[in-house]
Amino acid sequence: MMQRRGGGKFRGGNRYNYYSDRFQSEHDDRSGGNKTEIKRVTFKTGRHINNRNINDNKLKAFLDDEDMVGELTQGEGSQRLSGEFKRGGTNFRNRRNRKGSPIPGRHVGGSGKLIQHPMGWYQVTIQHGAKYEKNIVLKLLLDGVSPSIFIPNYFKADMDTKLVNFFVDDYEVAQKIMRLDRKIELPDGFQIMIRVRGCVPQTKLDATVKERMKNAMVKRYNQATKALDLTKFHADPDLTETFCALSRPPIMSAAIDIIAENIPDLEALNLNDNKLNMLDHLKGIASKLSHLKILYLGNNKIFMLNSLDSLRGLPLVELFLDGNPFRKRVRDQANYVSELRKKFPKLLKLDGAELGPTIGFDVADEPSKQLPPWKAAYLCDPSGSELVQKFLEQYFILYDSDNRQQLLEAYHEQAIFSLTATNNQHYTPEEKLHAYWKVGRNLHHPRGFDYRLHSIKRGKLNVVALLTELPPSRHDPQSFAVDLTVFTPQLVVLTVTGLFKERNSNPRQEYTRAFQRTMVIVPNNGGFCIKNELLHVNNASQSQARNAFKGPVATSPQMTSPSSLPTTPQQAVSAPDDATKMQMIQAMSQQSNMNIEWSRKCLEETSWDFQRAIFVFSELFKQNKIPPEAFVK
Amino acid sequence: MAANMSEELKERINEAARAADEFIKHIYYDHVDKKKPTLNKLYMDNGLLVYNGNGFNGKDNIAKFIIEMPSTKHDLTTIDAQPILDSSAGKTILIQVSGTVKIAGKRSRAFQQTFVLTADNNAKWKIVTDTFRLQDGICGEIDLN
Repeated sequence: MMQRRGGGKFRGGNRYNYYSDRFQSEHDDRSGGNKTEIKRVTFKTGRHINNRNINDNKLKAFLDDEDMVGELTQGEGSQRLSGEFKRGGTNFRNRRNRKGSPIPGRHVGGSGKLIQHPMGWYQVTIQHGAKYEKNIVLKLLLDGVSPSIFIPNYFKADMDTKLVNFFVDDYEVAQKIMRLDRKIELPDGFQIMIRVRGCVPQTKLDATVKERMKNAMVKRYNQATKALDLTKFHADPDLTETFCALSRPPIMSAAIDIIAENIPDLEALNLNDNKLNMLDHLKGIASKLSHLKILYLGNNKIFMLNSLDSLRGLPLVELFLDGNPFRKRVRDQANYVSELRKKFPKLLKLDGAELGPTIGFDVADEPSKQLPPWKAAYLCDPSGSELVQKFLEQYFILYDSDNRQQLLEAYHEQAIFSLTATNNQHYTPEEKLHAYWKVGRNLHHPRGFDYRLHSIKRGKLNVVALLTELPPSRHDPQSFAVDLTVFTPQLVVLTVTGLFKERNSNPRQEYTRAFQRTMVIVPNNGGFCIKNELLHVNNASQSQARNAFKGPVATSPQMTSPSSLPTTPQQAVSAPDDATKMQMIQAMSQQSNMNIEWSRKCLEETSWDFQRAIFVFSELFKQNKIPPEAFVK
Repeated sequence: MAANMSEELKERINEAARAADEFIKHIYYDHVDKKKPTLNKLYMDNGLLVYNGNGFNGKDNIAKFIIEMPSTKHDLTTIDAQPILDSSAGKTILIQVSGTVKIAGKRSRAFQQTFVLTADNNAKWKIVTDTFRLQDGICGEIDLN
């Protein structure tokens, strides 16, 4: 590995080794024996130059041949060396334009100007660099750019191509390194060949990287202040092995997910110095980090103020944006503040300065105007809960089965059914609700008489035939909300909303949809069936899709699912005990106005099914079939 | 599809569609968004509003609730309507709408709403029940403010 080119040309084959050993020990002396890379870049600039001089002097002292030293240090060797190059068969100049060359083609040459890269990353490639010890090469470069310093990020030495690659994230340094091309001599007398180009390191995101990110974030989290400091995240000493920059959308998304999962109540986030450019992939952050009040985005690469639209909905009170390219274009500070306040209405502090009060008129809603809490169920009559619960449970078991034909029993002979689904040309393919929309109707757009008739399904065969055409489904009962608005023996009207997934052999295509069904339910042959139904299908919101099929949401204590609706004490399945029977008889008597004896009779004949007893009573009552003595108390 | 329908049924379906069109596009949301004070006239005396699971009985309670709630702006996406064919129900129709609503100028949120309307003795349609749900109430953000 350490075989130098043109071996034997110098007598100092071991001189080279000596030099490298000296360097090693010098380095160790300076850094107190600590050899980590991070420490190495803390070289003191002033001492640097001295060290080099000392090195050179010591080197001279140890060289046998003074002339040789002259050649080495005076640069006379360059001609000879270029001859060496050709003899070695590798003409660097010619390789530059060779197709498929691993050497970057652009921004070549020490005298050219390096084009500034929008993301601020530069790849340094050193020809033949892998033939030398890493420390030697880096020491030469560091000396060359002194007093600047740099971190050789993602350093890689390729033993096949002998190329050394690393990345720097500073334009000035990158330019200085580029100018060192063929300006410095390596210890074996060859000139160093350097190429620099604007280039973002490659991102690799797997479980290991995510775990490392998580560990790095834990270290940067302050629990007391609920603040997470991700400043210059890519330079974290624990993330040096792979390029883990938040400016790369997959990395940022992974970071946001880690936060949402582990610290959902995060209040302050510092993203300064991360070369953030596009913020598009942060859409949806508002629902994931719903408590975020302070956000620092300083010294990034945000070019457009409108990029911040992706962050809308965050309850920010403080925002820091200094050091981004778009700030240079801000001429009208008042307008700038007002634009940001439109995006973040609660903003009190911007770029470190307190904001004055907004100019407002007293037309806004008073803060006292608030909406009542969201509740999962409304029952106009609590005794209806059992019927609703059982009916919906049975209905959705059949609807979610592979055979929706079984639903024939759930519909009235003359049932009326119609379906609406949103249709939007901006929907992504998975958002398109074509399967529903094509068999649906929408009276929002003016249409004629025929459309109104043809877009409605009449009769249970037609209804179930349509239901069979819809995508297979799996409903999430925990997502259901039920409103029972009419409950009489003759007529039940209920609305149920919730979420379902379209069953698919490919889990990636199991899209989550939201639905609302309004059902008119009537008694029929001793049971109940649907006389009218309106079904609406929509795309689930992002947060709905995320929370679907995950059970109750912890943040909504007031939420009850239909399975926990208040139920009447009666159970139709097994006969209740005597105490319960007595309660049922009394309730029956109260509701029907019949006496105890007839109430008991009615319940006995319906196997102590309270709903059924009430239903039978009301049917017989309508037909005048209940004798007057039943009402004598 | 229309073949198995009686002329009466066709007429009822058509009537439901026309009433829904007028009621939704020109009356109801116009009142809720802009003309709250006269809103109570749209409900039957014993009408029912269920707003995200909270019930309000009687037109005066309903009107009071709507007047006191933050300002709204509804945008409709779909409208659907059907007649309820039940002799005991008189002339009654069901309307279901979907769309987005901005509450107090905040971001748009999907909602669905269902009405049961019935024609009174003067052939004027009144709301029997009105059921409103924000779509992402349960698995989405509960915070409405």
